Amino acid sequence: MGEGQPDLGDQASDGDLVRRTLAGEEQAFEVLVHRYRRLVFRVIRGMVPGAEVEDIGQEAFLRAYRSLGQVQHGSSVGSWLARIAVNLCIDHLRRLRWRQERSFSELGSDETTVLDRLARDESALGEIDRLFLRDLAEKLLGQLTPQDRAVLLLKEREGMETREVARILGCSEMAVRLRLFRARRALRTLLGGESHRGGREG
Amino acid sequence: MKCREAKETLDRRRALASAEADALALHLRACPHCAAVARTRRLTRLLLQALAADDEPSPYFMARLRARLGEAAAPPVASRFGIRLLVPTLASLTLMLASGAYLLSPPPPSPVLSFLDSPAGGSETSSFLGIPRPTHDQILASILEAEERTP
Repeated sequence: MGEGQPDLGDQASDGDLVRRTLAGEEQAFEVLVHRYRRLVFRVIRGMVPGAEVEDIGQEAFLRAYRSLGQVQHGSSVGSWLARIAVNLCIDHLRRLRWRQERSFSELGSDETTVLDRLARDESALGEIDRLFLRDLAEKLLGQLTPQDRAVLLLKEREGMETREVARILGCSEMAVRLRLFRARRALRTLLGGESHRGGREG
Repeated sequence: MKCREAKETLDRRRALASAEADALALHLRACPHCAAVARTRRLTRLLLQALAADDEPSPYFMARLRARLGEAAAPPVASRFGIRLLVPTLASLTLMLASGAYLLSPPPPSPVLSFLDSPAGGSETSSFLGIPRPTHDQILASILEAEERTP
């Protein structure tokens, strides 16, 4: 964040920080922001294009601050913040999708080459131009519905359990499984790894 | 190793014993379908990693947030004169915004999407003409099974 973390003790529990914020101690909320900013920004960056990330991050923490009283005792503040961020991103993507019909152009030869290289050797990730890779990721993941993309991000990137993803998205675990299946199947088609034996992505 | 087992193993790839990893590698070499699945999962993970590589907000993030938090906490101030002007202005603005929102609002989501997004309900048993009604999860499970079988 570039600025020092408020000196409230990083040892304080989330519940304690929530209580202190609600009692009017604004600095306690800053500790929560500092603690969860990376999770929130990873979620947002995984969901929406770069230019909007900072604004959505601001909005996410502002909403969290305004509705902090809704955090249930014993529930995870991280999951709750992720839920706010994901919902903001889904709303944002819905508006984008509606306003501009997304078109998908076939992958170019340079893009296919990069994907083949990464599929063979993960360590090549650090050698490929970051902007190029981001654009490619956005091109591919932008084809998914916002909810499918959120499931994929939370499961594959954040390594969350199906139950936690369901809680964040406010749907059932079975819905998460179905969305994950659909997202993986769609990406397999886009990435050119179509199955020889039908669509059993699993 | 069978295909189903291979996919479950891919899901647990972060914590595989070496024997499991060897069995998976053997299966992937022999099965082009599972190899394609593994390739997609690896690339998906790397692409997501590339998108969210930089997870720090800008240096000004906290200062901006502090200012906005201050605004959020500040009580609204309005003079009597202000209120006299404010009421009709707000009424006109509300009417304009409502019309705009109606005209610009996206179409409602399809019933299938709404169903998918609804929380797990229907755990209570209900029936129609003596036939038990399937629960929300049973319906989604049958959709998933059907889609998994669809070429």
